[in-house]
Amino acid sequence: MIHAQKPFWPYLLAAPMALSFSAWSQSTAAHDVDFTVDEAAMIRIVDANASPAGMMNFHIQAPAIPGQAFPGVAAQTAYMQFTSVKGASPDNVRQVDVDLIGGSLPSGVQLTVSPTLFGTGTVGSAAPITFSANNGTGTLISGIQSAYTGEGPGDGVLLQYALNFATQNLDAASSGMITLRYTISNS
Amino acid sequence: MICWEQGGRLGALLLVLSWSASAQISVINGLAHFHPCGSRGHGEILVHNSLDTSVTVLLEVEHMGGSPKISIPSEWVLDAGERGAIPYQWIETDSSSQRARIGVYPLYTSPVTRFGGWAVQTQLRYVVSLYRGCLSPSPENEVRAEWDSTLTWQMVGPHFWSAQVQAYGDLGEAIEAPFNLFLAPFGTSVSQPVPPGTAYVVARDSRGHQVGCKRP
Repeated sequence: MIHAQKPFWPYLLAAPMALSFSAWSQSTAAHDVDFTVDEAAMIRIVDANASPAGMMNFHIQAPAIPGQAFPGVAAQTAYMQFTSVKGASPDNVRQVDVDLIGGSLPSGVQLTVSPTLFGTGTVGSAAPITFSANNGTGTLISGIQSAYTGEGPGDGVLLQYALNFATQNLDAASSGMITLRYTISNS
Repeated sequence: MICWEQGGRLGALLLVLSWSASAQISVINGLAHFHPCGSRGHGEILVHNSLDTSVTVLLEVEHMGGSPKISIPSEWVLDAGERGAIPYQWIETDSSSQRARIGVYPLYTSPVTRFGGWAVQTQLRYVVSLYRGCLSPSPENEVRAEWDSTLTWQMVGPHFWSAQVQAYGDLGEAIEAPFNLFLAPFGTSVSQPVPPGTAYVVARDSRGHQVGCKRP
């Protein structure tokens, strides 16, 4: 009788709630968190406006006065932008090599690519490469791990292109196509 | 006589650097894959096209050895913004050690050659190194370490080896964080800078094998 005098509707309400909590709790415990990180290697070369394509012109002009040597030309710049997320060994360190794979520079004319590193993370170390009739390859950056350079104008590894020559080595008949290939690989 | 410029300037030489690096692809599942023997004999290279146009991706295999040991498409078309999984298959899935390098790059169009100048085309390429073989059962017998200005490791046996290298000081204290070591059985060596104050290093693999080297 005593039990009959007590209202039992709260128990009826609480029962499904308890069941609901139980079910919710079990559902949460059964969820795994899938955690995936792309082991990315992304690279591009852009101009000062962060545009991926453009023209860089070196115009080697004759001097103003007969008897003078051809004046040098100003160096020009581009930017290498990259994102790198390393993985487990063997893909834990990366490097960028540059090869002259098409055409050739005339004897006495050199093209030097000088990198200056900018970026966040382990961007590695850089070294200039001088391309000439005798050298067509080099490692530009080594020791890249997880890092990024940014994607905006002025972001990235600054690449300075300098053309070095002596007037007596120039030949105006020189023409052709030169292909520089930038390769990113694991070290 | 060739007039290079109007106005009487002769002999002007024009070098044109033509940036043809607009085709933008990236590799998003690593630049080196290792398949231990006993594991599956296939894998894939994930390539992403971040442009709003389709891109033809070319794949070039550099076999490190004689006959072809890997099968992979030579060409793959990615639609705008697409991530594509380019499959490859090891042809020989025995226990022999194998290696291949896959050059991955977009199809470039050749620039017009300018008369009297140089047109320099810039290309971008990814190289994915693929390895397949067995891990060394006895690295203490197959791994060689030489200590000069750097520490150079070399696998002299026919197997691969992957380990973590920890540098220690005179009192046995760990110096800096351990670094990864991966050795391939093809005569290539791996040189690593040694932190200042290092008295010895120990390389440990996941199976408990250890190789130590004391600074001379």
